[in-house]
Amino acid sequence: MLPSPSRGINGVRVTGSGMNSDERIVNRSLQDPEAFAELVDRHGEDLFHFLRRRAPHDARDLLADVWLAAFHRRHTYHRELGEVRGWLFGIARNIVLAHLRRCAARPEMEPPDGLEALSDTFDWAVIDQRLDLHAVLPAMRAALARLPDTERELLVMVAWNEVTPTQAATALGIPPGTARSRLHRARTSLRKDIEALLAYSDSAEIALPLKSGVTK
Amino acid sequence: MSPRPDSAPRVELDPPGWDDLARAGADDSDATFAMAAARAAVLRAAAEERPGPTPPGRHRGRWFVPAAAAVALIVVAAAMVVHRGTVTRSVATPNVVTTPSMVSAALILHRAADATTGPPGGWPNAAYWYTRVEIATLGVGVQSMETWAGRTKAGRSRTTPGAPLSAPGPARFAVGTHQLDWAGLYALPTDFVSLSTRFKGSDGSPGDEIQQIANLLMTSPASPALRRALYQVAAALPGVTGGGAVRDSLGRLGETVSRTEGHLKVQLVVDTDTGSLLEVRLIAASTTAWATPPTPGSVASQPDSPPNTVIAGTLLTRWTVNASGPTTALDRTR
Repeated sequence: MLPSPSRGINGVRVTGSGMNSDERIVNRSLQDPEAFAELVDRHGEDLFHFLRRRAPHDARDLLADVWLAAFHRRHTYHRELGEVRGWLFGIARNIVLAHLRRCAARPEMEPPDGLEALSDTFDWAVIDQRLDLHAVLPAMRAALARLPDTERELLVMVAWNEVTPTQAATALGIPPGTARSRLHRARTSLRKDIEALLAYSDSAEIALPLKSGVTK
Repeated sequence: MSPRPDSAPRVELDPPGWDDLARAGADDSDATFAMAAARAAVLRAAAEERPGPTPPGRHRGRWFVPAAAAVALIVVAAAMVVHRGTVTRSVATPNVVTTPSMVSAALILHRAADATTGPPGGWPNAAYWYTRVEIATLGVGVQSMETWAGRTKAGRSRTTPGAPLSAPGPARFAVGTHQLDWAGLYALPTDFVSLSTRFKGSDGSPGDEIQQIANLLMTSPASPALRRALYQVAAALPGVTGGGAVRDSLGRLGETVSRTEGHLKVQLVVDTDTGSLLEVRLIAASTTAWATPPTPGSVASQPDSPPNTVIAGTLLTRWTVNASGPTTALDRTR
């Protein structure tokens, strides 16, 4: 990927302290609509990769949808919702979920590879393929599969440095405290499960039942 | 591990395999194109939100259709009697809608060409080519127009609201300075170098190529091979610019390419995934007075209304393709 000033460390943009400058852009765009494009420059790439991870084939079209939706809804943004970035990821999440539902409802449209049943969270098969590709520790995958959907989605968003826990709370529409405790719970059970699985695997000297366990 | 942007200290240890999981999120796909399209979409929406150039339906006063433009786009041209417009005055205060040209027009058009599919030989022997378009014209409103372009027999068109009209004979398609019949269309070369020479005017000067190409893509039985070549010809035209992703009037996602021809900026909305031309927009390229009676009987005379000045950037008319395809019979209902 080309280097870009809009990307912070590992893709998480570190915004200025105090009054968030994103918020100022949103406010300014109410009078000066073109100003909103600056937010595209700041967060567009990260949103694109967020979409790519969940709907690899349609990310480009969806990105324009996300930004148009955000632009038209910018009047509804207010500080109490959380950071602008979290708000944007919330819109992206809704749009990609709606897209995946539409794909599932219209089988003649090619759904993302391996897409089957859909719930209110992301289809795991798409993410599972990604883990496959990166040879993620089998025990990690098995343990992830055991997490409740809500915890897993949150954990993955944070693990992939898409959003901070606080921004994830905004994106998911839950209080920041809830997000942090869910995240803590998820990490704890993940570690416990993985350690147990690794111990079992060591003692039994057998391969773990992996893929079948991960597909929900 | 990367530093945590959140201030909350992390006390728990990373679970085994955490770094693998983090790495699995890496996505190296190039965002350049997607970013340009997203940015263009926002800028377009922003431009539309600004007061100024008035889209149809929200205009003040009464405007007239630029009939010369309509002529260029109507496939059964003979079926529609339209008077030619005259420019009566000009106002030197351009107010052009920002149209970012961040996505290369050539890229868009070549992608559309590559995506075009259909029966390899096309439809050389179909009886009629049916097209249904929605036409929105400033000062006139929205109409639906169906045309049956006849291969060997006379075609027909039906505009709602409006009266059905019969074409005087088989369809003719404007290519360069020639009016080709159906067989002539199928005799056109489908390599774009040869094809592009057919669009040259008699004096070789730039003319209304993009309008002709739009018209052929929108309402003619051009074979898939010819359609591909038409996109390629368009991509090679001087002055064609790309504008990124937009939605057409039916909400379909496409990408725009534009070219200014005379007083008109012609904008095509193309679905680069299917190669379909979704919509054609005619935008005032300069601030110009259009004083023109459009189709007979519609907005003919407004004696108290002086010729109307249209600000540059105003959408004068759009043609949105609803359906098109070969058909065996002329629909004579109604």
